[in-house]
Amino acid sequence: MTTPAPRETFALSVNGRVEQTDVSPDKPLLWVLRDELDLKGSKYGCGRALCGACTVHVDGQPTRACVTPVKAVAGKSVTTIEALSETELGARVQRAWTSLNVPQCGYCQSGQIMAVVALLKAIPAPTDPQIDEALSGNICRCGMYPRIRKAVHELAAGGFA
Amino acid sequence: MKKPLLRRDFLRATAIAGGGMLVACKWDSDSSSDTPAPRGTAADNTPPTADPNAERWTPNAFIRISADNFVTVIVGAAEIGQGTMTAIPMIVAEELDADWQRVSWEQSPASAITYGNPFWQGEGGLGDLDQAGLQITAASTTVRGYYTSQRRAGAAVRQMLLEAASDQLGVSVDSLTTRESFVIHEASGTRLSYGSLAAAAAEKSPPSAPALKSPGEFRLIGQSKQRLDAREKTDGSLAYGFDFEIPDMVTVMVIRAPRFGAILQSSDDSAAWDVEGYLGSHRVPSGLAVVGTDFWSAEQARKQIKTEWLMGSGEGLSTADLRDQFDTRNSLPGLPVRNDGLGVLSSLNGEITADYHFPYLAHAPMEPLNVTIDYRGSECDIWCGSQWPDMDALVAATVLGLPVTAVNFHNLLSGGGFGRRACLGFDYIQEAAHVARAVNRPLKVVWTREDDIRGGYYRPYTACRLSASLAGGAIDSWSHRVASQTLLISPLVEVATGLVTEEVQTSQGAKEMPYAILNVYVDTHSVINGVPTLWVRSVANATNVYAVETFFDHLAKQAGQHPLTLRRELLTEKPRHLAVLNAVAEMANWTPQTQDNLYRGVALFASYESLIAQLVEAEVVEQNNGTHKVAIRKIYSAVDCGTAVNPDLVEAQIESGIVFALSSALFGEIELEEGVVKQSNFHDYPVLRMYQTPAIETRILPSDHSPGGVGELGVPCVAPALANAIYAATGELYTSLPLNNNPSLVFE
Repeated sequence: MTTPAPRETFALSVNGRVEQTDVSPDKPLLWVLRDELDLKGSKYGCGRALCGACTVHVDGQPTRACVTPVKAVAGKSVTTIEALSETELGARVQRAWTSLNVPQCGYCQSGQIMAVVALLKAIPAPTDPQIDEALSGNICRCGMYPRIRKAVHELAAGGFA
Repeated sequence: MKKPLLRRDFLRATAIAGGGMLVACKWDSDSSSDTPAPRGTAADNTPPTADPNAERWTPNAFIRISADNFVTVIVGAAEIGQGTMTAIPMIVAEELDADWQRVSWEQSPASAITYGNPFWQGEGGLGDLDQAGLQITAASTTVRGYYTSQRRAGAAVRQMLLEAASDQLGVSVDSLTTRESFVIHEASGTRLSYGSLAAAAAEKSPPSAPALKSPGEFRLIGQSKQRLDAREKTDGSLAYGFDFEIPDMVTVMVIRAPRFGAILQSSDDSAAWDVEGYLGSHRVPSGLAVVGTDFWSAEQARKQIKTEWLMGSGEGLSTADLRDQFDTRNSLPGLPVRNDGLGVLSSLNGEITADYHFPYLAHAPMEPLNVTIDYRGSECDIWCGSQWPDMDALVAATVLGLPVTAVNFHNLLSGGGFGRRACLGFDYIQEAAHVARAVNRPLKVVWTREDDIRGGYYRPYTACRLSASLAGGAIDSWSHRVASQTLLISPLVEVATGLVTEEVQTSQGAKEMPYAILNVYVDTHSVINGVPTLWVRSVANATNVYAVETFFDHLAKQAGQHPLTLRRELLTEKPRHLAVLNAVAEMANWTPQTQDNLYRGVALFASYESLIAQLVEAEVVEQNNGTHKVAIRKIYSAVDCGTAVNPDLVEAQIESGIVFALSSALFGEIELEEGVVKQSNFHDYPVLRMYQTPAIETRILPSDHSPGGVGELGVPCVAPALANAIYAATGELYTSLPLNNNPSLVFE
């Protein structure tokens, strides 16, 4: 089993700011965000892209930060849950989440919300199969899927503006 | 030393700097200067007060009213997602007549004496401490346990505020009313805020038996309020234990035994030193503690370390062997826990018998276990999401050789618990304390998902033997024998709970079989083996109710009766059971005459002072190869939980229970092969996902009964209702979970 490559300097664009980091290129983006940039809203849940708790946007695409080496996002734009309320859609999704009591323990919700925002950007009024397709990679152990689905439909109908 | 009066009803009020008041227990203790962060209110999470003096923290407080008219409720129970930090403040605010927009919450310190759940009073087996209760968030007891004491506290403070206003205005208390954090003198139109009265109210004696509202007077209880912790759970700002940091902290992962009970013999970390950030490793009782500067360095270093283990006696067990072992136990008599009529005799010769088998299950909360600990020789601070903070603090103190008063346990909101964070073996907290002693600097012990799935403390492997006889189309006798691994593995727990004979954690759900059958016999076996086990959400109800409710449908069919009709016949003496059953049938528009392309199954049960009936609608289609394809279309629940403090959060708990239960019904299983756990992460220990989740409809029946528990209520009936729906189509009794293991079933 090989050890990680030595440090390099990376200029990362995170939430609209350019951050200089000096890390191994193999270090997953999740741990760069959490431990180098102190952005702890993106969560560790499985470390293998199985649960979606670490979902961030890389150039707008929902991405599992736990398996994305930092070298893969050099020169790209990363958005995390911390910056989401700065966009109109992000703020609406967050309002839907609080209004409909979507979170229970809440640990998966950063990832759920990032996945939902990416879905609604791509498909403003998704069907149930499209919701299944886009959101089944995000596990909610508290089982709030019906509420997430309801929130997505209400958002698609223009709710929480 | 004089013993403190451990009567929760003796409240004591104190004026606090800045003009507010604080209501605390009679038995005051030393205060500390620890100031927790202010938390959210319904008014968009505004910090409760701008005055730092009004924020002074006193460890035994229940309610704080600040001069700027904010109410803070200090909550003893843990928030593991179930809505504690909303429901408990609602209960207090109701009797206090507080403005819900200006009510906030704080997590209490770890202290059973002050914050223990009154539900457990007398259950502790610890002498005087019995009167305090345990500070454990388990068994769906939070709302029902704290309900009365929190109402009394709110009502007492309201009375004191009224008396203070009466003094100030020179009018009688009877001429005053309260509304939304103001005392109102209608005759003069005067309104005095609670905040302005708080300092004077603190001088009043708390009434020992304040009048409580009748349900008709409730303004908050019964309303679907938004969660007070919703905002910080949607913007990434809530620091769970995994996110919590202290200065100069290092991160520790532990290489634990590859087989339960194995002992570390030797280790070689020479390759780990090539990993930047690796800081060394230390032997601890549970294995080898690998220290890194952060998660990733610890994880990378851990992969480079080789370990050798002493396996102890034997090569460890294989779950494939347990089926026969447990069936053998179940052919012998167990400890009788129920014997109605001639039950004991009839149990020996039932003409219809079925053997059920249930696998080990892991809790798999979304936030893996972690403990942040700062051990400084003579004292220690711990930050951890715990369902049992007072015992976790005590166990840590014991390992560290400190008095429990030297351990400051800061309970954090948990990313799920399901029982794992109330560990009877105290594994993660003991380990963290040992690591802290060995490493001797501020640190966080983190568990990866693999550590979590392979870490033991599973729902116990369980087998049930059900046997019954029919006579003249009726069920004449019923017997239910349970063999399950004992949960009482820790002597500490035997001391703490006083349980010595019947193991309720094994018999529950079997003993309470609700149907009117003349001859009933239930007995249990407690099996001991080397796999650490623990309660998982709804504990033995999940397995026993599955056996009861599916066997019931099997008997109904043998007796030529519709399962709905036979249930109604045998529940005529139980109106609340009957009401949930009838309600769920009505919701699904299901009668014994229904003929359509759907198959339905129902199950019901009562526990936690609540009742539930659940109904599964499924399409079941036979394929060319003889298998059946099953599509679960909808799950209905009818709930009687007494007073629903926050109906939307009750519904959320039922929804949550259904998804949790479907995960285990369909594919939840932990297997061991020669002692090694086979599963490791969500690819081979799958849990339900969005596309597998059916439509869910829940109805809460109106009730003025005091609140029952709901956190586990939605779990036990889902799997049997599903199995009964499939049984209606195939006539096959499914006696093993998970159902996906059955080669004749294919789930859509």
